Amino acid sequence: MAVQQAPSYLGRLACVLGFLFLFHSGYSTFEHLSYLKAVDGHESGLPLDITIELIMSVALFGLGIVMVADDFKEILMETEMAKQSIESLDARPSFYAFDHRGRAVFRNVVLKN
Amino acid sequence: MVNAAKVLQDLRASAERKPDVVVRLGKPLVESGAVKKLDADAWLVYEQVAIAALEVGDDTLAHRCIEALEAKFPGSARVRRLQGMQLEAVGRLEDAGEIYKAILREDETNVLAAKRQVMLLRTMGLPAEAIGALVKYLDINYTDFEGWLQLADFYLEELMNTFVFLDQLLAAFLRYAQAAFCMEEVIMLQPQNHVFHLKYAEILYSQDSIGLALKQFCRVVELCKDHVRGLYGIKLCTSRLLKAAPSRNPAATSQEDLKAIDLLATERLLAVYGSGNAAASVKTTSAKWIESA
Amino acid sequence: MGAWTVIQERQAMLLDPAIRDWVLLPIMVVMILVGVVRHHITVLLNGTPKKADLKSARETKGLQRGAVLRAYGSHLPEHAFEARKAYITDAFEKGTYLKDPKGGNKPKGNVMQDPAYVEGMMDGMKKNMMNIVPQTVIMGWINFFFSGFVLIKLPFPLTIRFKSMLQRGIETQDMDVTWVSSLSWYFLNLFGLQSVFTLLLGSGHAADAMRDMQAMSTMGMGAATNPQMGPTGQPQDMHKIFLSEKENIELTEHEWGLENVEIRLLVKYGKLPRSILEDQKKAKAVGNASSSSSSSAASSHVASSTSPSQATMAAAAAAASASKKKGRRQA
Repeated sequence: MAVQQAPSYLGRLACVLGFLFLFHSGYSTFEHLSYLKAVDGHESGLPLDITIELIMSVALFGLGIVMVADDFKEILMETEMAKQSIESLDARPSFYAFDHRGRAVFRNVVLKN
Repeated sequence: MVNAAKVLQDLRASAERKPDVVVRLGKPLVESGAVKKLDADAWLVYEQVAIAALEVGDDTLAHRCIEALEAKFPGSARVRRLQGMQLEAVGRLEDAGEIYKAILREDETNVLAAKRQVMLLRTMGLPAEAIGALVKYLDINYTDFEGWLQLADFYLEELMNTFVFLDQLLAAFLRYAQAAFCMEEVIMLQPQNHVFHLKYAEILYSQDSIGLALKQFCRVVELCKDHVRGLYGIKLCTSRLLKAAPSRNPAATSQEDLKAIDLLATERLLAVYGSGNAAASVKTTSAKWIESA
Repeated sequence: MGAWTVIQERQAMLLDPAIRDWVLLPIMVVMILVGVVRHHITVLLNGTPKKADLKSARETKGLQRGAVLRAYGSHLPEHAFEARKAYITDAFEKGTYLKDPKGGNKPKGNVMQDPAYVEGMMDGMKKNMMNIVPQTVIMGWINFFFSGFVLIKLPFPLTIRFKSMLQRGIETQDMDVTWVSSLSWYFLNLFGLQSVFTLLLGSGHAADAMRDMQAMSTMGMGAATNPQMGPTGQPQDMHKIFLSEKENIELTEHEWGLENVEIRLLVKYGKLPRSILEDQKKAKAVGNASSSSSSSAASSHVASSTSPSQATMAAAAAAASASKKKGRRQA
């Protein structure tokens, strides 16, 4: 079974920062365009700093996602199957009977953690 | 708390039968009320802990879990089956039977109740009727590999329960064949699982079809590299076949193949045993034993 | 160069913000609400799921026996496969798994009286109604109230062909295709709100536009829910299905996957070269081809030998000659 990784705080931080940059660059673009409209100026493409901010946000997102995502699983079924223990053979959850000695053995035993 | 929930989830997925672990981890969860934090999983945990508690004899814990489930899902067939199991565990078998009959009257196709009826017959000490009921169930639900596994186990248990000599001979002939049939169905339904191939191989070996058993053991090791039980099976078969006269059947494994496989199995077993942390003396002893087999 | 500047010069139009407040947002809100209401009504209409019938379940599972045998029979030894094949072909022929063994072919005239068929049709009609009625109503409402003006500007460029569709009601020639009317906003929302519905209602929601499209194209069919119905909506004759499955099984040859498992195992651990498997395959193919075309004794000699060393040498020689023979036969 996949072991849960400890939450990668750095990864999450990177994702949050990436989102903030994206949002900020989007808003800057909107402001820039409305400024141009108000001033009736030519549109000559976005200013350089907005583009750089956008690319940075993409990079941060990429970094963050890679850190936050789970480990890869093996592609061969074989390795997954190898982890299957032989106990799964005898365990048939719908077919449990209770006439075994478990009830007697554990009756007076306190199962502590 | 998070770890306990994770372990319980893993046990649910792998379906291993470890009631002591489940109760040990689940009891504090249930009694402290922390189980409610798991949202959707909480009900699965309740069910899991209830069944484990019944197995371990902790009836109060089981009762508590079942009550919680009943409060949330009143009248549900799944909860009623749990109540039936509770009655089975304390020995009130007729009452349990009544519950299952009622569930089936409402919904004929309820597989849970049908399966419990089968196990009820076995608990009552009527193995033949249990087998009959299970066969009838499998006639309707062909794709339930769990049922086929259980049937195979029933036949093998029957084998162990015959004491009269002549019956034993008949049993050996018939029961192994029946168990093998069931395992074949399981293999068809789950072809990638090496554990079922292993069981089939061991049944074949017990039936004395060594050539076929050898092929199945090879399949086990092919599906799961270095499977120790499979390798031992290979060694057993090859040693028998090499000592016997060479078969004239053209489809049988040739002598040189047998020797090659035998060598391979020995080598892999030595590698597996040699790689552990055991003391050197243990390693040499096991190596000597494997090579002499 | 000149053409490029013309295209890039965007038509800057200033729209009344009241349009945004009173058209854009209300349409979206209305669609979300209608979708949620539709989902709940569908759930109420469907009521409790139908109770499964034991015999029908047995019928479908019985059919699966044949399918499973065909698909995975290669894992079983020959005697097991043949025994099952014989039993299943016999059972399918006799109709042991049929729900209604004496039913036979239902005369077409009584089709409407079959309760299962009628029920299936009613279910389908209910679903279709629930999908189509809200769509038509909302489209009518939009056309009535919100026509005659542009609502939004699409951020992506489109070709001229879309102009007539997206700017219905505003007959101009020069306006950019990117300025569109409220009806196209409705269509955008129809597809775009799917994920919003999934968030609100969980994944199995009844407001799925994809299903709308399917439902529209298969109008009047109650086929989806009832497993007994075929694609044409007539109750299928299960007996015929069983017979066709039986023929499929009879045609299946048993190819035992474990025939050369020892060699495969040795190859897997590197004790034997992988080419051995190729040679074995060739030898087998040669053996099959020559046995079916009944040629010389030399080739059949190759087919019977199974040990690898013999096969490698004989196969190399025989493969060359047999392939030439095959080539001539096919030519």
